[in-house]
Amino acid sequence: MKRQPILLSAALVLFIAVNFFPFFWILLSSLKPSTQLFAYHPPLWPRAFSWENYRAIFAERHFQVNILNSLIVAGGASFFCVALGSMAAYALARLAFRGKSLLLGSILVISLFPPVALVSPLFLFFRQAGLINTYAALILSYLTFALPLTIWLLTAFFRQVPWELEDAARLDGAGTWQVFWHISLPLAAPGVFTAAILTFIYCWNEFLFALAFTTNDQSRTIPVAIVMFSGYHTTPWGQILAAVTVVTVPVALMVLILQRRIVSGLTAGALKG
Amino acid sequence: MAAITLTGITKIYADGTVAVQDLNLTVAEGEFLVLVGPSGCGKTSVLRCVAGLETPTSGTIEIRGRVVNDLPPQDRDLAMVFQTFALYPHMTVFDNLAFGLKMRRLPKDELEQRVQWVAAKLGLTEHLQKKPRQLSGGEQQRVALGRALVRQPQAFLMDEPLSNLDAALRVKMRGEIMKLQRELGVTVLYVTHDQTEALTMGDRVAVLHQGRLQQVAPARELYEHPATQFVAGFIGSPAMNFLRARLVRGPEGLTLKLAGQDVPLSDDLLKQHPLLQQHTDQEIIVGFRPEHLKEPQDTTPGPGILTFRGEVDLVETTGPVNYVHVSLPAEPSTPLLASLEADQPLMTGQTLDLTVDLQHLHFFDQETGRAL
Repeated sequence: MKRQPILLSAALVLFIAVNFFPFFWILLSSLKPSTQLFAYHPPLWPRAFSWENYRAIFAERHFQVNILNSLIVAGGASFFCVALGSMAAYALARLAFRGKSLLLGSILVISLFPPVALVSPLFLFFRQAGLINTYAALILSYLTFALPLTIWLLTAFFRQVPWELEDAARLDGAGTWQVFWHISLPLAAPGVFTAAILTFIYCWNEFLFALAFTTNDQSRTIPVAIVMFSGYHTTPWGQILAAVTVVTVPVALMVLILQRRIVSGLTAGALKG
Repeated sequence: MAAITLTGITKIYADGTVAVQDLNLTVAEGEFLVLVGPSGCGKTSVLRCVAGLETPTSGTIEIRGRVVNDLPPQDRDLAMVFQTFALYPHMTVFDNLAFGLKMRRLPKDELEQRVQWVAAKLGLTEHLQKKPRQLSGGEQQRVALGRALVRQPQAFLMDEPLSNLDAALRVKMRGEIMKLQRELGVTVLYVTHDQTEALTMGDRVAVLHQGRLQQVAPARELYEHPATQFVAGFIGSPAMNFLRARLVRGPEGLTLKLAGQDVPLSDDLLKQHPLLQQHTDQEIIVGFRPEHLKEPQDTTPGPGILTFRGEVDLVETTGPVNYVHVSLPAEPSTPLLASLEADQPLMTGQTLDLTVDLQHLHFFDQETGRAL
């Protein structure tokens, strides 16, 4: 095996330590009873482990409802994003029509609007449509922000699928939809995965729209719910840290497992395979 | 009934490129027709028009008497083999072969049976569960062929299917494709830029140049009686020698002034090339093949023999035959190429006599390139 230069390894260890420290601090603190958490010199390692914070968020605050909300909203948005985005991207990659680059450009411009500027008009719109406190409001607003990236990413992927494969499929008797479904989409799968995961993470963490378009505990998503833990007089830090741990671990695990896919997805098009 | 009939096909692309001009061509039932020409001559455009992947600007395409101009490719019932093989990389060999049948909703047991038949025929049975990238180039080529064969289509279109293979494999697959075609009696329209491939494989060969059909004929006839100077130069390897000449009326009848010599033309020759008479006092192009140039000791001297004396520029050795480049003092800009048996050593710079039988001369109109 090739020997790693010592300096480089040391730098890597330092980098990882610095980056992971906040997460470990959150994890360890969430397991401390409040006496240790609010001590003048809080211990790095809990002197006694306590599951009280975790019990409280699920038993008293019904945090599982918020997790379910987030799963539905993020999952739904990712699904529709990939379904619509892949069709749009396929058309943009394959069809020759006037004003194509202008269209691609304007799609990107949509994602440049600052979300803050859109919150009020969207709120009025959703209230008028009776969509406040519904999944639809969040899924719709997330779609508008996630679709441009998805379309750009997938357009690049579909462009990489050789024309001849589609020609071959058409001569084999496949119509446009069948070519898309059986040939182009499977070959763009790494891009589809990447787009779905990025969209999921974006929606999982989104705060502003979720705060504006939900008004009761039953319809809130995780980030908003966590903020709402704070009362007028107290901020239950232990519970907040426990909630953060609960929602970070699954996403971190998912990204770790799928990171090969994401990396190959993000760098595809840079080099010819 | 002809399998494929093209009538007046013209293809002009959106950018104004004229790819094919007024092409008329028929492929008979069970025929192996090769469309050959240099790259950019429009041969692939023709094939893509027949396949339905391009729409001809004008003209009609018939398959077994039915006009298919308005049919999309999936409804034309043709199979195509691509230069890049175009195997579906995410499917196994079995699924690649079965894809066309699945699209046509063939019952499962019949599909299975047909795929197994083709796999056995092409020696792919043991590879059925592999992905294309696990196969060698030759095996991938067989899968591409199999995908076409399994469908049992009206006709096969092949777009330079062998040009991605190495030389040895190309010769082998050439034989296999020919054997399969004879055995199954299928109709093939085959596109290539390789004249050797065209001559060896085709029942008939159609030569295309700058979008225009030059000649359609069996290989032998293309070689012996090229209809245009382009065909003469394109078919045959190494390429034919061309010299400028002038036809004049001399004391012994019609005489060819060629490379500083006066060559009287016999009545027999004029009978074979009646159009020569009309070109008296005009410049024409004379062509003869390198393999028809001989050394004097191998020739019986006589009136029908033309002799060139020149200087050896370069000798290329290929084994049994040497390609000898000879420059003539009278025509320094167009050196002759002779393929001579490699039985005696030739030195660069030495003087060499070469003879050619007048029977082997081809005459072309200088302007139109038509054979005279």
